[in-house]
Amino acid sequence: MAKFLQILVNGISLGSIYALTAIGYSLIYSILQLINMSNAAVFLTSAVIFYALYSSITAGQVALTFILTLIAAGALGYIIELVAIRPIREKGDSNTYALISSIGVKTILEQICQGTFGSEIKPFPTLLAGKYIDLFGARTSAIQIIIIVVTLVILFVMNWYTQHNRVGRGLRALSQNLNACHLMGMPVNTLIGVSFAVGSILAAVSGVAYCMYLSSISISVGAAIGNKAFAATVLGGIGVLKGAVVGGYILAVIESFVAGYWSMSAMNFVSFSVIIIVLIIKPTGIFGKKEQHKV
Amino acid sequence: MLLQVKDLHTYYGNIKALRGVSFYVDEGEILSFIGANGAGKSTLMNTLAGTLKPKQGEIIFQGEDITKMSPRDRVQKGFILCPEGRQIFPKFTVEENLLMGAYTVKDKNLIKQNYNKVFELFPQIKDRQKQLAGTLSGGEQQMLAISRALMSNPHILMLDEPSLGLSPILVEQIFSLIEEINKQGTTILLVEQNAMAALEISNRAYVLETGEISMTGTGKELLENEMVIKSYLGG
Ligand SMILES: Nc1ncnc2c1ncn2[C@@H]1O[C@H](COP(=O)(O)OP(=O)(O)OP(=O)(O)O)[C@@H](O)[C@H]1O
Ligand SMILES: [Mg+2]
Repeated sequence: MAKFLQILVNGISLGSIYALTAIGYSLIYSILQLINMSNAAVFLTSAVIFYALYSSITAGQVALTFILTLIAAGALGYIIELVAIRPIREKGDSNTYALISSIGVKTILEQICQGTFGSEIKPFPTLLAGKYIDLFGARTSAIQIIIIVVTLVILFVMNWYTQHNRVGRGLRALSQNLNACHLMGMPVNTLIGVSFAVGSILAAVSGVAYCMYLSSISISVGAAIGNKAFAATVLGGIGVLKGAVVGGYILAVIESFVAGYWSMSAMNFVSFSVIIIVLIIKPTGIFGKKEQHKV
Repeated sequence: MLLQVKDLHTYYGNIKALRGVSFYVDEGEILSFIGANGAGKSTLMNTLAGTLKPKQGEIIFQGEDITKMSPRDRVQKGFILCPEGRQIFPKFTVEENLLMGAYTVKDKNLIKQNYNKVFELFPQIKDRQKQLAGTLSGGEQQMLAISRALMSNPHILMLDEPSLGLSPILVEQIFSLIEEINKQGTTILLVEQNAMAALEISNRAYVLETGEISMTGTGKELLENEMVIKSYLGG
């Protein structure tokens, strides 16, 4: 029982990390039908920014470093859209070009991270290091519980904002009918920029949380989690935010149980087999609907 | 003159959809455009709304050149299009759709005032404020689309085929509501295939043919014109 619970908590905390990054993919896809490949690089870049700030200007202050990192990530997301996506969008060119542009951004960010950070593994600050919480006999690390709680709070706040806030509702409107948003006089470009900023902030939370969980950072973390988060997005149904969250948790919990009861090396094999099976049965993912072509 | 359009040319790639359209709109008018399928009516409306960019020509609104302005700036100046096919937000409630129409309005009281005003005009949708717009009937969706546009407090309301796909009774109702909106002070620019109904409520009208204006006159004149009767009134 204790082992079961512990594995479950592992899965849920890892799922939180997948879910946060997955939302970014799904949000932008829902609006532009674009797979924004730069998302995984923002995950990495944010963790590197956190590391750089923490080991210099804001040494020792986790909360302040965290807030500054999120601000930087939000700005980065907005700038990515402004510089690399918007010009293509406004020309009305195909999404394939925007996709390639986002891959370009991803590559550039990864190069910058590699150049400045180097390729070795370095220790990453964590919260309540060595502290464990006894959960019905299961020994779970405090950082895992913090990650789960923070993620739930973020999901709750996001849900509230998209239901009740003007800008949040605006983002939902964009995903329904971009042309109508233009006609209603909504600041469509700014809102699309905001959606990239939101996706990037979530990826930043995810990136910092993951490195805190590992207590270490290396430049390979972005690709590893980025691929998983993207797979989770597709599993849940790309373009559906709740699908990204559910997909993230399902994928991580499966991985966690396979690793816990069977073997670490079977983890990716099983989780991706599950994804493939789900997609064969329902190609649009768990919550995805068939795309309705606008007349 | 409230709006003046000079020599407007709009293309889709190499396809010429508008070939030099010029016209004007006076304050308080109901002005309509009639024309066959593919004549360029929607192209004209979207060019005026700013979602299509003209290759050539000028759009002057209240003495100001708005040809290069964004759709958002045009809406803020009181210029809004209720598009063909309604384009409501299907996953939003009626209330949320209306709030999107008021996106450019800062004054909360004005939003409330307009909110109540559209329900006076369209009592049918008042009881459906919390219903998802995608589940409304076609007629209700059209009423919602017009209401949503009115939420922006427009000076000129452009309507692209508001009667499309509606039953004859509803068509009649929509046209009398358009007259009512006009009486309350909004200038109307109307595009219709239902030429008869449109001409009956219009002060003036233009006939659009393959991207060019082929004829103009008062609503009454065009209703009596032989060419118009033959081509557009099923005579
Ligand atoms: N997106 C587009 N791409 C290419 N050509 C287009 C596009 N939209 C319209 N056209 C062409 O431009 C011309 C004018 O179309 P438009 O939609 O303005 O006509 P309309 O008068 O509104 O017709 P309807 O009464 O059927 O709504 C048509 O020949 C049409 O085929
Ligand atoms: Mg049309």
